[in-house]
Amino acid sequence: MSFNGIVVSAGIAFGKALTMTSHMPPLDFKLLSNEQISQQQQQLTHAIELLIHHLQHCQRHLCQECENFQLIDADIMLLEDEELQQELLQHIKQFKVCAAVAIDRIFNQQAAELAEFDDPYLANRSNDILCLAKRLTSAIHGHLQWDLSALTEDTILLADDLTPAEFAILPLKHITGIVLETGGLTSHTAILARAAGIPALLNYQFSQRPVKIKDGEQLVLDGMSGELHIAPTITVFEQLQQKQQQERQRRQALTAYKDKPSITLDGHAISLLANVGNLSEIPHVTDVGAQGIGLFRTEFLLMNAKALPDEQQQYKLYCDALHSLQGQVLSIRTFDIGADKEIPYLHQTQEDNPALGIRGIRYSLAHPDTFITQVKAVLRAANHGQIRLMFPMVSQIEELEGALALIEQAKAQLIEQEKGFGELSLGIVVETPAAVLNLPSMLPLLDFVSIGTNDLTQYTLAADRTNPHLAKQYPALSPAVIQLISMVIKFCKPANVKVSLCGELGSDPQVLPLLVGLGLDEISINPTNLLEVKAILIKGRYQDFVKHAQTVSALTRIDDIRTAINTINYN
Amino acid sequence: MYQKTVTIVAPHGIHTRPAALLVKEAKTFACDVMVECNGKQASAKSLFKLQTLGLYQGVSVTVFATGEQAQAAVDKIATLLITLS
Repeated sequence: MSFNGIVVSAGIAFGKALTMTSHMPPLDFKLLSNEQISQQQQQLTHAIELLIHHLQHCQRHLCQECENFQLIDADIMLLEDEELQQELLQHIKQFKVCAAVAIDRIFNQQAAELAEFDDPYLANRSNDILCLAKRLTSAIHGHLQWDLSALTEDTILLADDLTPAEFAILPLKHITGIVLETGGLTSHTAILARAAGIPALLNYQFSQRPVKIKDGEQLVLDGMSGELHIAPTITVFEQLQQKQQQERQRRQALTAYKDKPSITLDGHAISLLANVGNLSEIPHVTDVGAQGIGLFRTEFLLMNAKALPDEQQQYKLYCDALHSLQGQVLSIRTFDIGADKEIPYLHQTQEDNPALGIRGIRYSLAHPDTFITQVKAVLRAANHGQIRLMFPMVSQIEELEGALALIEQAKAQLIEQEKGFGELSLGIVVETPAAVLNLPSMLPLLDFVSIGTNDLTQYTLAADRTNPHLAKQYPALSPAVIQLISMVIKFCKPANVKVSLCGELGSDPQVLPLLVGLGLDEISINPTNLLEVKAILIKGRYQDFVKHAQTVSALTRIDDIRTAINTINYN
Repeated sequence: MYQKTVTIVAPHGIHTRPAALLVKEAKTFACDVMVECNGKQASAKSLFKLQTLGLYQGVSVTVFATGEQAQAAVDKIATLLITLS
């Protein structure tokens, strides 16, 4: 059992423990005595009261008109529902089962009934019912705090798993750290945590600890060492505070690089851009002096929404982004839906292997309306600034041609509707080995490419990026992936197609010399890491980087590559 | 008994939020108010039961009540069914 997780986002976090786990004790079906029956009935009534009280408490932080408030109202009303309460109490008595079993049966039956509805919106309420059942069951087990919107103090969140959609709605103001039992280094939740600058430990089996972590307990997450300190002694606590202080000072010192041009000592310029998933991250981009956005993961806009934003809403959003960038380039990746990024209201079909299924451009080509709506919004926004548009998961020229044809359709519609639009630079995200091999035929249709190293690694090494057991043996810094990156650069240079890299690999300062040495034109980085990467660039020489890249490219073992990366000599 | 039949027009039907508002109103009346739709019946005072009726756009819904304030209650609930969204 390991009690050191994988650090996906460094830094030190202090906060009170809060467990948000869907692990419940297994249902106990044994028949109850009469005495136990009335005990279970009382427990249920008590849990309902507690939960209602808690929900009302949560509402106090919300305005009455907002949707969240009204949804909580509906939950309260369900809990207060006399018919439901009677049914639950009756079930306990009639079948001599515990309260949790009664909740499970009655709510599941309700959810199943709702799921039958033809109207997808109503059918979706089935999830709400299951969610309420979960909360009520947790209340019976003494856990109440599910609604994070009511948090008022610094909290370290412990959960078995967190989907990107769940992450997107976290109140980050009060969440100082995240500990998950599952997840890998490049899972999307990990990327989001890193982008938000929140220390996170993944693959940390906290529920297996002999002594359970209690809600409210003081925790310190040390993302530098990968340790989680539970109720530390004063001495340890102070040491960690000091460590945090030092880390802050180090980061503060880096701000000196903000306005320096991103150029090596021997005059080789590289554009350093930023990766974002949300408009709220754009201030970070300008704060660290990025030269624009190299990757805007637009699907994260969908995770925050209740329904697909329409053309006008998206147009406004992209214009806002351009406006905040003050003339710098905005690289928009079209919706990369699928794999681990599920959007509840889009009704994606269940797939056995979603990472190899209808995702990225495949989803867009199968749902042209969604794609055209987005493209129209982007084209219109391009009237107000410099936009690059790229398509995720393109592997074959047919997909690229399909996407380009839809862009033409989008333009035709805009002309017909007499809406103005601007020109776009067009590119693809190179993230499958097939995309690399097929690149020469696609280049004439492209202005740029951006290498997505996370998926490129996953698909090249056939290693699921969300599987924590594979992260170490199948890293992006492997001979096969490095070779593919250099192939992309070799194909693109003579064709005058700009090569960018937007994967997590680009955010690792130690890897920068290799990437620059291989000949990339541009790197797009998490805003949190940008200055650190820039510092390495500015302090180095391009000719050293090239030599280093040659050395690394010749290596055939992962360990040797790792050593070479860690020991580059700058002289 | 007093009754009235209306057709749901709200695009997403009477989903959780509007249904909750409807229940709130129903509870202000002393009499039992029932809602019938798709061959199923539920008390207008029970959100849990109301949900299972499938009050989506285009379906026809009958509201009925007996006793004190029956007419006022039916009129109120029927109006809400066609105005809430």
